[in-house]
Amino acid sequence: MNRRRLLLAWRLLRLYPPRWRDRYELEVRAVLEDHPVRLITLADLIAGAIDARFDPAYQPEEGFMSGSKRQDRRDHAHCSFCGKAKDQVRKLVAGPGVYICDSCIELCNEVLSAEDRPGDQPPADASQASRREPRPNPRSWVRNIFRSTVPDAI
Amino acid sequence: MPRRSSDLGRFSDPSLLILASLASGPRHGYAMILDIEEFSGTRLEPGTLYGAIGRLERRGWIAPLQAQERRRPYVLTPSGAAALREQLPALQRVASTGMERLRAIRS
Repeated sequence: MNRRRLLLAWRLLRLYPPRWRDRYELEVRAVLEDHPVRLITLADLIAGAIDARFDPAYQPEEGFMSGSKRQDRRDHAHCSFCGKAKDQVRKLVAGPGVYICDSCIELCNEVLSAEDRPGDQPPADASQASRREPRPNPRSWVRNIFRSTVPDAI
Repeated sequence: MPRRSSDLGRFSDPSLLILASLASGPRHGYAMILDIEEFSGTRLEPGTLYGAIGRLERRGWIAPLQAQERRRPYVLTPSGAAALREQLPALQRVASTGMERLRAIRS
């Protein structure tokens, strides 16, 4: 299970922008080898990728097109996560200034469905569970992020 | 039990935790996670950690050193130390005020 989660975490690093990956990917891979990869780790990587995608420091040189070039931009749209062009993927979903392809959505779904598999959660300690603070639900967290940033399909 | 970084608002800000961790010397990413968990009880996840590392590096508050194998240590810069020095007294005031007021509730 831990090995499978580590591989999943490494795959999630593909969601980060190329400039971020050039600089930090090898380091984060090394950290993930030492760090226990839990569901919150995977959700945190997805949130980090979205954050980096919106960070101007990691934007590609050409920047965003605007106004009259919007249609042209849609014709040449690429997945903001893996970089594949519109005609290389089955479906490309548009958000405000970003696109995501069906493969990257599938990768996110894989992370979300891992939560439902038996054996993913550590054995519950009934005496501690009652004292524990409510934990964030990675599934609803990621789903809400995507709902708010990816409104329509093209 | 480790708490998420968002539970304590700005004073558990990952950037502040990283600056405080590097104040005792250069550390690579995983060593920072362990150190921060030990002194603050907050367990940073790698996505959050490297988001903050990127921002701190761009502000010039921390600097990368030569990587050892794949692990790259970071060091606190003089301007990073100044930023930390500026923020800590405010944090201390909040802590002491909170403690004083709690004592008043108990008595």
